[in-house]
Amino acid sequence: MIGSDPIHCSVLAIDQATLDPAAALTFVSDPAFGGLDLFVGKVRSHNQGREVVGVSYDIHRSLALTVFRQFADEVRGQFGPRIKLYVAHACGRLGIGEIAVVVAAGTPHRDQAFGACRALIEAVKHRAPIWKQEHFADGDSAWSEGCALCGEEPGQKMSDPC
Amino acid sequence: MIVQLALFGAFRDLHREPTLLLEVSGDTVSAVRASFAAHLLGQGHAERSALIRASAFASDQALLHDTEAIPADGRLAILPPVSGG
Repeated sequence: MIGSDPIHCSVLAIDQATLDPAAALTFVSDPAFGGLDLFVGKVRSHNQGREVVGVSYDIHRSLALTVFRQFADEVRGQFGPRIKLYVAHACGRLGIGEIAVVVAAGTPHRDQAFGACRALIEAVKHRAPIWKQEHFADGDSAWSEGCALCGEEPGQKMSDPC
Repeated sequence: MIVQLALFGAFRDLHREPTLLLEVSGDTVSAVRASFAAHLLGQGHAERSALIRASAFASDQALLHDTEAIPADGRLAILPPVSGG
């Protein structure tokens, strides 16, 4: 019994709400689904040999919500149509261990759930308008280099993963 | 024309406000890219030219290629390489 909208997309300001993996599992659950897969991305305490004390996420909110749904539609086309998908990303400064992103997929069987969840988080990481600034223990901060969406070079595709 | 350019990621460090009003000679996204590059050069940020070349532009709802027209409302965003998750 898949509901009217089997896709949930959100961007949450960290000072107003926290990401909730349990809510994601509830959303993708369905009596007809035997497989649920959940990905939770947290802020870790190190990167490339440097101690990290926090991460700030900057997000183009309206465009992010649009592309989250586009990614989910792509995943639904690949693994659905019997599927529910959930994606939520935090915006603002997070401390070590705090949740930055939650992605979940519910499907009749585990293969589709694993595949769909993986495909969705990879799209979010590589193609969504989100920027990560790491704050280091020595007081320095740096924006992660990331993946180019499309530059000025002719022939570059918007969806090329990095 | 004057465009309102929203800044994200590393570009936020270069301007006090989240948006920049930019005089653009032309009506395509490529003209915005060139004007922004010239603006940063004038501000002493020549080191950002490679980042501008690697960046995308977008309206509130879609990415825009360099050959596309500037949105009618004059509002767009520059998106440096992304790093979510």
